[in-house]
Amino acid sequence: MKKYIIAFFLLAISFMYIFLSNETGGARVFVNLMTFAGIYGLAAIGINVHFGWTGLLNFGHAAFMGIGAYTTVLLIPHSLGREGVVISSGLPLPIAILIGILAAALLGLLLGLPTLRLRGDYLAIVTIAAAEIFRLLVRDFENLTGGVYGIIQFSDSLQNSRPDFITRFSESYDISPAQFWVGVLTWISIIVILLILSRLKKSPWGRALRAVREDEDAVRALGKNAVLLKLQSFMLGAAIGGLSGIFLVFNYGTVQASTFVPVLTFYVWAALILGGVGSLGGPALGAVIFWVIIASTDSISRFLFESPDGQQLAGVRFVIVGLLIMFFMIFRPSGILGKKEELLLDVK
Amino acid sequence: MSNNLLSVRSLKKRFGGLEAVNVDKFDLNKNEITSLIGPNGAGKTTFFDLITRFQNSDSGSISFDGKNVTSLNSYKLARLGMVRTFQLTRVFDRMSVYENMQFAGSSINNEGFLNSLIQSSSLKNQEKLLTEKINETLELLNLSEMKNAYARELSGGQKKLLELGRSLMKSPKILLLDEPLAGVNPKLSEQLLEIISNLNKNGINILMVEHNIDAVMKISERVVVMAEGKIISDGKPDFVRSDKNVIEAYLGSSDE
Ligand SMILES: Nc1ncnc2c1ncn2[C@@H]1O[C@H](COP(=O)(O)OP(=O)(O)O)[C@@H](O)[C@H]1O
Ligand SMILES: [Mg+2]
Repeated sequence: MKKYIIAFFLLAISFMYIFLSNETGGARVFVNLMTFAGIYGLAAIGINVHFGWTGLLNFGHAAFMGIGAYTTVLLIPHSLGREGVVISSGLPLPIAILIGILAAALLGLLLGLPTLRLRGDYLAIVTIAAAEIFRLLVRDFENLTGGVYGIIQFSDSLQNSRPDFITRFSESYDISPAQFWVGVLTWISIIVILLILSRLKKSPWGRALRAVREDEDAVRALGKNAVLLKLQSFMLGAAIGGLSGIFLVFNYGTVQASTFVPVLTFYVWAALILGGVGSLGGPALGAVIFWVIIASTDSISRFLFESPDGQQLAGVRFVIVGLLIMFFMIFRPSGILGKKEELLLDVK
Repeated sequence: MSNNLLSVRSLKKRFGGLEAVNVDKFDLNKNEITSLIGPNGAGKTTFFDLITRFQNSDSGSISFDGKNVTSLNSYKLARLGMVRTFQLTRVFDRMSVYENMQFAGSSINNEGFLNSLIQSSSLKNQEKLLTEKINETLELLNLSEMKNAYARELSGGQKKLLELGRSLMKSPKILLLDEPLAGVNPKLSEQLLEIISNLNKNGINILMVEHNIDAVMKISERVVVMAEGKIISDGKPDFVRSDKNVIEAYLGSSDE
């Protein structure tokens, strides 16, 4: 119970901080932050299924997010960045999203089949490599993906579905309606997915995943197919990652090769560790805290450098997130919502 | 194939230059307690690994319950009724004792992704029915009081008990126990031996590796001795005890 009170106060203080430090446009900053937090939170929920539930090390989440995003965007009307090639026909958005999610799950299957039979470390290495290969392929297949120039003008498919009251509400609070709509949909998805996951977590399947996490050989000795269980978990987490990637690019309104860099995976892990590995709501909470910290590191940058450029901002972010993770690993390795008794990040 | 429960022929396993297992012929056919003994490094654990398919053999054949299982997956072999425990106890640390037992006992069908998502009433019923068997087994092993504790909180001996309890949830045809008494205090050892011999009376074949010679001689109907990968003696406890091959093997090894 205590940790929920702590979580509540952390959130309250964070939100107060946002509104107090932005006299004008506090609501706009808040929505921006919560939208990103939702997207990272969703991504972290995917990794949590992998690592928190099953003990699988996935260091290439950006690839799953990316393949979901690119698949969806390429299936709906869009324009390619540099030459502005317009592709005006496409599938209905819900179907494109579904295929995007499936594509992420299939990539999970593809990476999982050869590696999940081997020791755990192989998966970690393969996922790191896969994410880089994916990014380089996206960059080089410019005809299809727009390469570094990316893909633009695909947002209409989503924004056309925006209800009027969202638009009116946004306008009266000086919020970007497009971003607000992405944010609302992201958080609705989080709630739906968490409901499904809480059902699964308590089910025989969820219990079997935990057994795999604890000791695969014992699972085999009891007549259970550990590889199949790992494969299913890997595909489910990948699919959730795919959905978060789709929301990410709709939030930006564009997508290019640099959207899915390794640091994205690193930040999603950071959110997971802050919130608490293994807990159900931890990843989403961790993502909110993570984005509040990101917002405040930018003011630290402004304090350190007179007018920080993008690189300096990113550098300071990186250092502070790194320090924060160290802090958590040392003083609260179970994260904010994790159970101490089920500590997964055993720093021995 | 014969109608032996377990039948092993020319089973070989090398690690580099070391011949870890080289067993010409090994059969289990009667319901009895068989103990596998031998000096450290004799290849007993590797032999277990080979017949339970946790490791691939270099050559040879294994048949279990009339089926050739030489290249079967370990988990499928366990489903056929060959269930093992490990020399280094393997419990699910961050799950409760009860959950350890639940996982062992629950059906593969209920653990299917879709079935777990839908959670039909029959799934829920089957999960409830497990409760009785779990409670009985925990009672038998004196673990009832630790039911809700995390498995990691158990003592070494209790972990051995839990591992045994989990195996019993599978209603095995044969149980392979790798040093079930290692690290268990004398009082608990006594209890464990009694439990094992009762299990055998209830029709479960037992094959166990054990270093505690007194215990082995007391409980086993048959003793098999391994040294340097080979079976060097096989027979009733009294016969093995006085076999000069055995005495030589133990004297010749620096470990014992
Ligand atoms: N994975 C392995 N790689 C190399 N050598 C091994 C391996 N496993 C076991 N051995 C060696 O094989 C021999 C038999 O080991 P083991 O089966 O554990 O013996 P026991 O259980 O009878 O003490 C030992 O000499 C051991 O060092
Ligand atoms: Mg051994």
